[in-house]
Amino acid sequence: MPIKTFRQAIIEALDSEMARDPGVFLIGEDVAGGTGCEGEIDAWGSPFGQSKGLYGKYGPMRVVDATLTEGAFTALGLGAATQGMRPVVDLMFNDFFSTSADQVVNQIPKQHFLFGGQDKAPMVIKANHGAGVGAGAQHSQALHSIFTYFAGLKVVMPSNAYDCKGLLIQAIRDDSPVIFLEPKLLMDSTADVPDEAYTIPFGEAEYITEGDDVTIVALGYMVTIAQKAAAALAKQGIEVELLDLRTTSPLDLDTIVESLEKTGRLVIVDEGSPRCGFASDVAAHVTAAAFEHLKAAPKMVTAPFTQIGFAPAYEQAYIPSPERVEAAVKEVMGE
Amino acid sequence: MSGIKPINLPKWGMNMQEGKLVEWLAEEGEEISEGDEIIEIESEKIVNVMEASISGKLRRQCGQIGETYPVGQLLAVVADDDVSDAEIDAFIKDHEASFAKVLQEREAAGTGPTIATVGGRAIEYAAAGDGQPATVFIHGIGGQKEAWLISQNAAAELGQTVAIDLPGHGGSAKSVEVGDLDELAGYVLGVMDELGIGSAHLVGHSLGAVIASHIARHHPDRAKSAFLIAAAGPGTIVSPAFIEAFGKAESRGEVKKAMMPLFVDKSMVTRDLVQAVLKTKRIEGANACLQKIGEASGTQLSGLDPMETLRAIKTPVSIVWGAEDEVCSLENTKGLPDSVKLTVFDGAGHMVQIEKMAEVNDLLLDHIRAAD
Repeated sequence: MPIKTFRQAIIEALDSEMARDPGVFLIGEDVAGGTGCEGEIDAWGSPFGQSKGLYGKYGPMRVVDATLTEGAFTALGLGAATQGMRPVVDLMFNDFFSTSADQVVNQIPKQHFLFGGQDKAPMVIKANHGAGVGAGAQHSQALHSIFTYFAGLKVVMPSNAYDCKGLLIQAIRDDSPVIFLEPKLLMDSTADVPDEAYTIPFGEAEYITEGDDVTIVALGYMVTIAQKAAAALAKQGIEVELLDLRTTSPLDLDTIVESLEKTGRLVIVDEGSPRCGFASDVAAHVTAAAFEHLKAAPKMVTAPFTQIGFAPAYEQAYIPSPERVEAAVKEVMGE
Repeated sequence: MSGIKPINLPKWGMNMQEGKLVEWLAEEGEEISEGDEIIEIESEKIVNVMEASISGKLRRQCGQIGETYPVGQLLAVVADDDVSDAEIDAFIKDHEASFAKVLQEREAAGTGPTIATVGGRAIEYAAAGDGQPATVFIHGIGGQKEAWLISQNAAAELGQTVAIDLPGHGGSAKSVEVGDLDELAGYVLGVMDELGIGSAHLVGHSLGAVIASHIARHHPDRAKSAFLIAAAGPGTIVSPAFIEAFGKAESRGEVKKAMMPLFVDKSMVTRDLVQAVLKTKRIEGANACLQKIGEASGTQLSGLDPMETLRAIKTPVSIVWGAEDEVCSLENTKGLPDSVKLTVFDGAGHMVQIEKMAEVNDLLLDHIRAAD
């Protein structure tokens, strides 16, 4: 299988679906990448190059370079979706959802419900996610838990290029609105990615490593962090079972519980807030569902409850580190 | 810097691009001799032991446990005591610089697997070894060429080998015309043509064994012999429940459950194996293609008398079966003609070539030598 980057996986998934279905289109700020500047068409294609080449291939009617009006073009996406198209709305940074919050919170998730199932909103809202590239407090947050709050939205965040392509194709073909989050620090990561189209179902966690001692759950870039911790712990004789949840909604609670029946110990690694966050949500649900299997209280490794500093040292201290994960694992092990 | 010898990541098969260092079996400072087991390396999800091809003192371990390296990567340095550490450092640095160039060239050349176009479809195959006797490996439904890696490497010691991905499987096109035995045999013969193999020993598992016997019967000039493992179809005593469950399985749990009947030792249905099957099944068109093949070849088989097929084959035939095969019952072997050599392994199921890998490989090599 050919080795490709996460970025290429996004482009391939978009390309595959745009070629397959004329109702699929991409709209967002900078998705065309330099349109209007002489000689600069398609120069970049989104801030991390995730739509490079698509403008040249599909033109301005299907790769729509939007003005700075997230609320308007997200609403445009919803309108198109209700009329049978399958828009992919690119919010650039997930932080910018706040400017289209009425659409994301009040309209899109409720379309199917409010029309008694006679209408639907098959659309994808995708955005960059997380810290680590020096983008500052308003462009670096990890807001997956906010989207997870709303019934009616599916929330997806891949941890590797293979999953990325399969999950994005699934997101576009899905009849529900899907929030698709792209961790910035994974853009250059590589994996074997088939040239053909394929889909990965939502709500199916993936085993990254298998182990008997501790279960770690993570998703997105935090899988990479947890993998580093798991490798370090393996050298010390501690076997980690690392689960990549792939989607926060639906949540594959069954697989977490299945793993806990074996390990009895849980560490949740999440880049979101420690308050009303995804980690605390998983901890609560797992404790309710599998209390009898737990040998220790679940441990959360999250970002601190504060802003993301622009200074590199602050930003690095903000992101959960393999060392913190390692320490948390030892704590649940009683060491 | 004479007297310094590198140990590089070996290439254990045509498609091997990289390997993961699992364990050191020789420590720094240890004297090693040719043939000593020195490193465990994982490739294609199978861990193998690398033996030393040189002797001397292992002065430096360069590879890290758990890391994946490209084929040719410097893993260790062997040198005599009179070589200084500084000289070894310099050797490693030189080696890294020249290897970086090699990697660049490799990337530029493209290292993808080999693809033949047969009947308008892309058929991926892995070739290894040269000369006669040639051996061709054909997997069963839901399988892929990589499963033959160890057997193929063993046969490659004798001569040219090729393992193919049938359509709908692995890296091959995810479509068929009708999916019957004539068509499937055509893909095998097409790859043989591509490689200039006139006649070969045909090794098949399950549906692959049926394809092998089909070729041996209808294209006798292309088959030197047939080595048939748990052949699906003869007498059509194939578990319909297995075919249905495997075809329908979509989630990890469903695939795992569907694959359980393949093995006696259920722990062999590992997450890695399930994942590999899922990756193929999830590619657009793959599942539909598998079902088409299953239906077309199944319909065709129900009208054939397997014993008549075997009697019609004039080349040597060996048959291998797992006594506890839950997918293609051992009863299929009742009434075999005397000319056919049957070996049954206790404690093995449908995947007898995996569960009894060493024994089946020995049988295979004996079969090839005797039949050639």
